[in-house]
Amino acid sequence: MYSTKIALLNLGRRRSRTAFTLLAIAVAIAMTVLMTSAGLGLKEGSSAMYAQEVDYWIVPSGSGVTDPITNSEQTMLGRVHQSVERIIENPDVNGASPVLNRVLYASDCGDGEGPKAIIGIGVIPGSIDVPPVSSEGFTPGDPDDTHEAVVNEKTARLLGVHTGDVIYAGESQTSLQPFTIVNVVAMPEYSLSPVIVLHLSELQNITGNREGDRANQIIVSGGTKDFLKSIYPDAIVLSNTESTAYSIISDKKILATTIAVVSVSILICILFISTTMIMSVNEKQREFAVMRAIGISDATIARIVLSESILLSLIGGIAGAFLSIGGRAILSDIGYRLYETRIPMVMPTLLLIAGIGVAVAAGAVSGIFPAITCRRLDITRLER
Amino acid sequence: MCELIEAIKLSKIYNLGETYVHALREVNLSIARGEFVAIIGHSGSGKSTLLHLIGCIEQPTTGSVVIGGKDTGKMSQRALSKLRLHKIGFVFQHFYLLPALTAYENIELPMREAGLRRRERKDRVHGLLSAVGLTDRGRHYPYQLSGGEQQRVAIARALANDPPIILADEPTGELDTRTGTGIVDLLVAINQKYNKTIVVVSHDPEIAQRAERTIEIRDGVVVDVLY
Repeated sequence: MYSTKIALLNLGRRRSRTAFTLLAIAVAIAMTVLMTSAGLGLKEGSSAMYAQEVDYWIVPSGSGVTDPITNSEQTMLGRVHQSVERIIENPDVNGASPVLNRVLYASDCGDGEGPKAIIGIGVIPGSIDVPPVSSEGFTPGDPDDTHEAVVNEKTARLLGVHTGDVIYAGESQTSLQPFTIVNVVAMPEYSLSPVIVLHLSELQNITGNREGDRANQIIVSGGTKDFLKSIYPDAIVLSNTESTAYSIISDKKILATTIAVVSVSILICILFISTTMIMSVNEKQREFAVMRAIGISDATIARIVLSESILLSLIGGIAGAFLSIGGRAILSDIGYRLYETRIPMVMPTLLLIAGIGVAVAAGAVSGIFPAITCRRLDITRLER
Repeated sequence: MCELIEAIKLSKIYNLGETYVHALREVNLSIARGEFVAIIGHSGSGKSTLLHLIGCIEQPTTGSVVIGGKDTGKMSQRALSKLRLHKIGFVFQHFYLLPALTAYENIELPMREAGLRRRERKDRVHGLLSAVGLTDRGRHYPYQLSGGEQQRVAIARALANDPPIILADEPTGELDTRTGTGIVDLLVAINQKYNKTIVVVSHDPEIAQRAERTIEIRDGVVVDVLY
């Protein structure tokens, strides 16, 4: 314990250098967290935005994507209406909806001129209502002849349409069908891609997924993992926090990017902490040599140096976690000012804890060399 | 009197790149338990080197140092560290107190390393502060103490684990005459009251006068011994 106390006192003695190093570590960790967060956000897309609303994702085995906008993988869930009915019957479940997403063509007129490619999302309205798959304004339930649509701002701008207008959408440019816009979701966070939300049955009809009653995923609020697993034994049920980790490891690109970013950040951390520790040990060579002379063991001295290094990195890591929370808000604001859209960033508590862990690990690694250096200190050499 | 410290054909050669410096040449020496010995000599004569070799903070090129009947040349670094902790107390010319610690904590440091319990440490530190006349200075940091007071704290630290040997390297070198006399008085008192073996390296003639034995070193060789 007294190694830690001496380490703390040593840090307090050189306040300006300690403050500079803490700032450097905090910035390095904040950059790591922010870059990883942005990577996750891009991977998860707008699903990141409703992460707090959705407790579980049921995705087909082999699918790693929970984003209703970008998910276009061929592996799909079947008999989704029946399954969702069973899920909703559970008193612990607050709401659930299948999500089908497909690329559609849409136009503000039905003559087939200049249709634009947009993302079509099919949901069962009423049960769970979270952006970007907001179904506010829809007829409740899942009838297949309402011809109602909800669009986001990006689609509204792209096609020049407003609430009450008719939009024409279909899977091919020659089979467009009319849909009345019942709502425009005016939230910039959900306007990264042009989106049109339809009743699930209607999207299934125009994309050929009615047979087999298919969807890409089911989102659920409430319930338990075991219960959901019993509905779809062969699918993957991800909880809110698991989905982040699953997204990282299931996508090799994001995994590689995350590893690269974290590695660079750890390296920067190690360089900062090591430089400080080597300077600190050089500055205190005489003190450590005196400690050795009066019988303080090499192990104790090494513990003091390591404690100093780890304390420095722990405090820097915590500061970095807070800095990244602030940085996220600032970056989001910059993104909105420049491009009228928020940068999607996923920053679960797990990521912040991992950031602090990276800092501590870097501190421990970078303290080893100075700790070993202390073993060579000799009062006679210093006095000569 | 039985011999507590023995130096047998002790030599030390420093390699300074292209040249070799013979700091000590086959020095033989015996110091008994409870003896007060002064080692004198000019700068560069090898007296501090001899003290460092006796204190096991440096290894001889040839020869051996025997402390309490044990050949220190055959000990591991860990064993030497324990020997310095329990058997030898060091007092340096520049005091070398740890600046981040108070006087109390500086004295307590070797006791913590030795694994003494808090209560015992507290009693012993207060006893030592009282013995060196600094009862009310325990909470002061080194920069808040005068040179004489810092050296008293350093002496108390040297006595922390009640070692039989105290080695002092120019303990009055940084102090004015009056303060230096006070430090010499303290060392003499410790020698007489606690029967500690004290070896002092010094230019100070007062120390030589008050020591039981004076060993003069010139060019790494013992040239004179006065009783």
